[in-house]
Amino acid sequence: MDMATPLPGRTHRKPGYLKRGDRLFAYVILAPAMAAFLVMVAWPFIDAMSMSFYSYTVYDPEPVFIGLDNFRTILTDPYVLGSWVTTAIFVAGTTLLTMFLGLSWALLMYQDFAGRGVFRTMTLLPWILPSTVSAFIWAWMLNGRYGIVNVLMMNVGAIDSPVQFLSNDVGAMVAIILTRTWISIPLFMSFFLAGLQGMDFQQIEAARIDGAGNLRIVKRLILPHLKPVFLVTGALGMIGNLQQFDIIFALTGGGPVRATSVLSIEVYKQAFQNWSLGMASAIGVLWVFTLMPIVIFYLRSLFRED
Amino acid sequence: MNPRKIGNLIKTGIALLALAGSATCALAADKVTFLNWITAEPSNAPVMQKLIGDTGVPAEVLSSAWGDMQKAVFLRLRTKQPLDVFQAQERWLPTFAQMPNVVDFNDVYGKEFLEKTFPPEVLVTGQVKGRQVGLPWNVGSISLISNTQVLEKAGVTDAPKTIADFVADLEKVKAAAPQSTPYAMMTKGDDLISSDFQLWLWAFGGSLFDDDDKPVANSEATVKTLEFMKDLVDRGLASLDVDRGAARRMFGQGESAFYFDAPVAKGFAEDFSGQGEAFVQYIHPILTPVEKEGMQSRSMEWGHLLVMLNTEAGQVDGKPSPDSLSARFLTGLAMNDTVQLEYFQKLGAIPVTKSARASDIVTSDKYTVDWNASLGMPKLNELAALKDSASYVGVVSEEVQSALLGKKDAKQAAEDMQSRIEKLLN
Repeated sequence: MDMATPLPGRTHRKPGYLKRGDRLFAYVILAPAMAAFLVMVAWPFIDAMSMSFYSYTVYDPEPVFIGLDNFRTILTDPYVLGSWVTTAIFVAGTTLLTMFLGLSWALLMYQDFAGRGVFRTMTLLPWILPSTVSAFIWAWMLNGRYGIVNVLMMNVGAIDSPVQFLSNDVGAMVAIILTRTWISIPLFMSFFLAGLQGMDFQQIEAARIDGAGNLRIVKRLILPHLKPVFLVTGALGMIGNLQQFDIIFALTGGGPVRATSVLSIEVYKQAFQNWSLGMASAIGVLWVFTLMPIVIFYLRSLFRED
Repeated sequence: MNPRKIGNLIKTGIALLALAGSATCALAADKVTFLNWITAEPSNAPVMQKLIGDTGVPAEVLSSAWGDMQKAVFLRLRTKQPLDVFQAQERWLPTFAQMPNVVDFNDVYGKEFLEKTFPPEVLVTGQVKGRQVGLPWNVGSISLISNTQVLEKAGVTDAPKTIADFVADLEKVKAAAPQSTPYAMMTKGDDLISSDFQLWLWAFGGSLFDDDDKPVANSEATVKTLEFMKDLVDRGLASLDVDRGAARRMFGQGESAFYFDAPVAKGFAEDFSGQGEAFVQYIHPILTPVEKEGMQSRSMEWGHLLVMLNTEAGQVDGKPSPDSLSARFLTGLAMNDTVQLEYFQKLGAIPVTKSARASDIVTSDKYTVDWNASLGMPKLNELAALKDSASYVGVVSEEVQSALLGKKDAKQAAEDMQSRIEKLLN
């Protein structure tokens, strides 16, 4: 039978078509979520978009329309533009390191050994702790005067005198990447572990019988199997790291000089130090457009899976 | 349920909400909402809570860390949360003065009364373009403080007069205690870095702006200052990652011999030393050393002020009045000699009224006498009065940090400081 031909007595419906009563019901149950979205997301975003075309500082009683001036200033200011480079370094460094360590840890936790459950639970600790608490713990550990990292390094003879990790460009960037990675590993590990548990273990056993070593198994079996997980964790990791603020602010405040001044810190500085809400909104808008391709990629891969 | 009944229920709910709202408004005038940072400092909070209680005016006290204070004020005002009175640093006043509902204290107490109560040099710290927008609460200076206990151990007995003497003293302290940071220079926090930098810039005879308000940051004095500061860091005589909190701790715990602070340094040093009042004998404010003998030593004008907003708590019959709750609260804190002297005795806050300053308690206090002798010629923070001063503070601080970290040489940092200030001015 030709499946495309409608059955007698049945009307042809387009995909997604609902009867009138059902459609009304759908709108009713959708309304609260739509209202929340409009109030909490859409309206502030539109407001910020419009504010980016204004000069609005604490000195202006009312916002003054200045067209594209804020964007022109941003795109000609090397110091603000530098924030994109800093953000890219932070996002790339953190996402790659988290994926590598998350996968490594997941492979370890995938093995069968005594106390595996306890280890898996303990692994979640950094994720459970509030991120600012983690940031302050790391700040104390890396403190140039009282930090345990300096003490340990001096005890093993790696350094002669304390190092001010958070006061030099590289040290500060490494510190924020490490802290963010430490917090994110549990989540990434969970994703990879879930992916690993979906693997056919017999395949691995068979490969071993054929003489494949661990590295070969990872390269030829595990990594191809985890490809969809890599896509999702990569996209989610980049989005989360592009939005990162609290850890960086608590650890370095964007310094020294501007070494860790990522976009979120730049928005904060413009809004709450320079009191320039228009400029902060303009950076925020460009920040959203920076995020957009990754979000679209992530959503497309989700819908493709569906 | 009957639609009419639902309608009636909604109407009743709205009416109850309106009643609750009006009741809240009525209650708001029964107390003063006071935002400050002293009660956010654990070592000072109990004293301040008592002094606030001594005013006899019911107050809701809100605390915010010093560094977040401006943000806290603006956010409360922009989100229309209650705020009647708040504490302000003297350098923030030009920014706060732009807000529409800040009260001019001349309209509350009258200019004559204020002039009769406060010395002119104190009153001026709260003035912006002829308006008295800040009521002095604790006014002094940022001066160089020495820890004589640490210095004596290093064999230093006299206060340094020149920068060369100062460096020699730091070297002695470092030699006596190699793990110490002899000078707790501010190297963290834009406000603090730019403040310490300016004090040394003045000591080298330079300034950021000339008498015609033209930027002169690119000068030999700036280069010398940056080279001097970097040299201290490179030789371990000063350290990176030090803010005021760390400096106070290092000074009180005998890790540092010198740092710049306000008179309230006394309270922090007593607390961090663990010795209480017995430690005061070791805190000695000194004249900031200068490049060459005979040059003018300078301190930086500094003050804590109180700002009043034109709210219900500040009005009587719809107008700002000295009889309003806010004004009575402010009078109790800033003009009651008993409260002022207790603040002085317990936390080292130098009183602001003529009568309290003339009290035996103040004039016979060695620490205060030493402090007054350490002032030299006080000068206002050069960045404070500028519109959008935070941007200038950020620029100066970034260039100083760049020089300290070796990202730029001193000459390049001075040139960039000048060009970036000029760009902001235009």
